[in-house]
Amino acid sequence: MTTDARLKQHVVRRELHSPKSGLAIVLALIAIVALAWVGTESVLAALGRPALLLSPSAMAAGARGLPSLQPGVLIAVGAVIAVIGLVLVIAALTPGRRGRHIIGAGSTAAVVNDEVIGSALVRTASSVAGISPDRAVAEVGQRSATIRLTPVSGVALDRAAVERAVAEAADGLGVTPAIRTRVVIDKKGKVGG
Amino acid sequence: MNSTNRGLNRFFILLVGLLLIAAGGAVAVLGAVPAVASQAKSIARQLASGAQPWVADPTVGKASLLVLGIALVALVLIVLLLVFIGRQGHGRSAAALRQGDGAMSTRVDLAIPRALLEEHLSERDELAGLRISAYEVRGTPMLKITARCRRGVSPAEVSTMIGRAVDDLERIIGTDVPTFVQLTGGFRAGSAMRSQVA
Repeated sequence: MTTDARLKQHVVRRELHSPKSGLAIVLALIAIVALAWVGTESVLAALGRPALLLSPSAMAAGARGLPSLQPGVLIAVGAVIAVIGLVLVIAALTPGRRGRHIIGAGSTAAVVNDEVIGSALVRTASSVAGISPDRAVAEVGQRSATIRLTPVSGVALDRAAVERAVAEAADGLGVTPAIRTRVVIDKKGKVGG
Repeated sequence: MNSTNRGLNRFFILLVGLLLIAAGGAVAVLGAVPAVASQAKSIARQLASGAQPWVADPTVGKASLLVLGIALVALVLIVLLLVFIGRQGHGRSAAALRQGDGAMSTRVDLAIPRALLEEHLSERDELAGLRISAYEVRGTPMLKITARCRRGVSPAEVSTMIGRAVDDLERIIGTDVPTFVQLTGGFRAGSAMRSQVA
């Protein structure tokens, strides 16, 4: 593999996954606020000024007093904190895929957002079904897409034709991973075009 | 495309998560296991009565060495966290291409591919917007084309079209231009009804 191809592969892999910047920044900001508060209280205590909320000695006394609290309260608070921690650990270790697919574009590396795929499938489905695109909604996952159609009251939709057209359109996208399609036609139609 | 250190982001989130699990677990155990609670109580009593001078005795004003140490550590951590936040993003490059080293080197400014590609692509109906930028990826400049597709257009056609535009660009510049293409939607704006062509 050439360095060029490796570079493209590297970029595509990065673009398919979340950088987790938002979560990291939020956590860092919370930590900064907490640390700034503790630091400020320490300095205020050193200067002999009244504390903002709690002086360092009051914090220490509070920590020493923890075991005297009601066991039920301790268990509940501890469990909530631990669950938040668990959520963060899971967030840190899961791939965090973005709603995107790889798409062929000649020699360049290309990625398409799932909303574009959904919109193209909606257009195919609605034009074959003969309804307005606003009556069709697509939900695109990593390997499958569901297109939901709301028919016009009293006008039957050709389900087979829609299914065929949508499957063909999905094949024609040339995205990786490939998308399997499913067409759902609402039982209740709506009046008007 | 940017140079965000993703490994560091994940490591930081993991670290905070593990700290919270440890802290929450310790608090819960304190409530759930009576033996641990009584042990903690006696340790707390000991600490309160016979505290070390660096914990209890004020050195500056009314603050002990421990309190000042905590303030210092807090300050250092705040600076590190600010640097960490500031490191997110970045990596934009003014050059779209750099070749050769030593005595002879060629640098193609981003403005050139931007002008060529915009001229080539901005007239197309399929696109609602086009953004051309360049990023430094592993020390190599790489072109990024972000194309906002109109509602309902085939991404396959758009990507082929952009691929051709990049081929033309490479022919004009005379060398490979590492390029990354992203097709986005964002249909809320500019989703004016377009006539349906079946």
